[in-house]
Amino acid sequence: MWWIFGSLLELFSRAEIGTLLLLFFYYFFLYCTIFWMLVLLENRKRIFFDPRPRRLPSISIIIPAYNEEEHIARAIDSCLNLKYPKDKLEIIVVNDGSTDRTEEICRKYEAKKLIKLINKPNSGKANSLNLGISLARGELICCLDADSYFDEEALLRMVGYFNDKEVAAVTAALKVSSSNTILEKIQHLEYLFSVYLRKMFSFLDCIYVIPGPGSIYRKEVLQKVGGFDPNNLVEDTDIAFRIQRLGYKIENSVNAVVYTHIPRSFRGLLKQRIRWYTGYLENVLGKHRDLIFFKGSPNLGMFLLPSNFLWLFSLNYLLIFSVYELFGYLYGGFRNLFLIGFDLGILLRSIRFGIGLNFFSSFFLIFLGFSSIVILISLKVGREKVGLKERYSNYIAYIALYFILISFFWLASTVFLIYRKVRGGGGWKGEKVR
Amino acid sequence: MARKRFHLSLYVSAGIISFIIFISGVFVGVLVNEIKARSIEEGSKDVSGMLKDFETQLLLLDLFPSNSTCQLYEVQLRRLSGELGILEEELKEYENSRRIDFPEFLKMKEEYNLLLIKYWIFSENMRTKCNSTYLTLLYFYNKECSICNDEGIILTYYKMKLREKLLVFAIDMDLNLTSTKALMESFGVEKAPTLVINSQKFDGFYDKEGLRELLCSFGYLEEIC
Repeated sequence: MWWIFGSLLELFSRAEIGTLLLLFFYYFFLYCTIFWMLVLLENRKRIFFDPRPRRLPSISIIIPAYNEEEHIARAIDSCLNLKYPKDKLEIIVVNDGSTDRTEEICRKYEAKKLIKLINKPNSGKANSLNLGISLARGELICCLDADSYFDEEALLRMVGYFNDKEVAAVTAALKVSSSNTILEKIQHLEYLFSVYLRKMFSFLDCIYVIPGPGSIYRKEVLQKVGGFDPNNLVEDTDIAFRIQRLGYKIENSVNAVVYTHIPRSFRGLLKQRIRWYTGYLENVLGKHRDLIFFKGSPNLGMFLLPSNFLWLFSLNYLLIFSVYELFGYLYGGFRNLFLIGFDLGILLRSIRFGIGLNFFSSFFLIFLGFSSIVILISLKVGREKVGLKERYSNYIAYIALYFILISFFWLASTVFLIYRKVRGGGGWKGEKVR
Repeated sequence: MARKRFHLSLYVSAGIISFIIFISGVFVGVLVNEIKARSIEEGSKDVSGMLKDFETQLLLLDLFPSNSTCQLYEVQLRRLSGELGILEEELKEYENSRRIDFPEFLKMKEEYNLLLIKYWIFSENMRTKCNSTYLTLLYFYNKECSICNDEGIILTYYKMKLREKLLVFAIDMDLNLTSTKALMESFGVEKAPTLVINSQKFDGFYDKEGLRELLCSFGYLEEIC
């Protein structure tokens, strides 16, 4: 056994520092994928199992809406179609000072006494939710972003988890409502991957985001933690951290499906991700710094949060490294062309085709292999029967693009975080927050 | 409230499994490397066999100088040049793809440079004895010289353009080979880049146009002159 370590050390001692970092990231990637696969294996019988509710508690669904004329009707309709006793369901729409037809659409539902409508001047999503909570009569509070909608069985699937007194919140399986362009399909795949990962997180009691679309809270716990923080960029992460700190559990059901609309344009997606990731970093580095190495939630504190920093670092490094290499190649290629006076005829003759196998391609193959397994698992856990039907090669391409996109977003968020630290900043008031 | 569990056994097993896979990756990487090195070694064995054959043929040429033998040898020289070209490509690819220093590489490079010098001696010999119409070009470079990369590109360009009419021998000055040193001394080469064309020394960097004029001054290169 020890000679393996010896010869490895000998091999690596001859490598440059950049190479070592790269090898380390490969190992880290491998470790994380295998770790979550083991979690899956250990809990394979529980993945699709949801506890049967002992009784059906009363639920207040709160829909905060700011300029959502396109989607709000669908969200409300999906609530009305839920398989849940109507007398135990209350739907509250909080109109956050919309300037479009949102109010008009809601009035129609209000007139039929189907929903409760509250109008208030614009002050952000967290304030809307808090106002809704203060008026809600249900035992449980369900938040639903106005641009999302329920699958009809969602609530029934989730409420059983509240049999356990220690459960403070239950999250759903988020899926993309429709995906046509490449950017949307990448997100589609990402959401499926998140469905898998969120379930794994729940097995280790380390969920740290309670998404806006379709999560249910125990009202008493929400009141105990003081509701949502209006000054936080990501109130859904902040609330999860506060619940974790109190020692409550956050559960997940992969059978409770909630569909959500995703940003269609690159600009929209960039804006969304910068808010998410900057918000996450701000929380972990600031307000919730003490959760790193927090023993009360050991899988979160000792592993997940520290490993997220490693991810951030490796993604940033890999992106900068690849861009640097790419520019190096392009510059070198251009320079060489310049030197030979752009005699392209000669150049074409010199191009050879073939697969260059070298020391690193074996790692790349491992990387590719494991990414593929992760996709297959995600498709399985996400029960993707309809929706994204693609050739397998496309999935591989989406993964590659996803890695590039996500690295870029994290890098942009890191930069934005520093900018905010220097300038100082609060929540994103008045903006459409999804 | 019940204490949340830390799943230590999961972390440890993940560590062990990923380590085993990682090691297999390293192993495959080293294996691929080994296979490549072996192919280069075999290539240089082939070339050195051909060179030995050549040695005898040159001695024969000394004894019985004639035009027909010259033509025969020139055909063989071309074949040799092809084999060496492949070897050079393999070495270059090997050097570019590796991020870790494998000690075999230096040895292979030394071997290749020795073959190259031998090959140069034969082509020089042939050129004078047979009045051949090709140029031999010794090109000295080292790691410190930043412009050598550019000179290499330009030389490769002319090599591709002129094919068998220009034989390029790129000699690495960093290798501590006695024969390289002897060669440098006999032409008075001190710095990189230096070109030695048909045993005449030319110092410094030549750009595309400059090299064209230089090559043309030797005559019989109607493709570029």
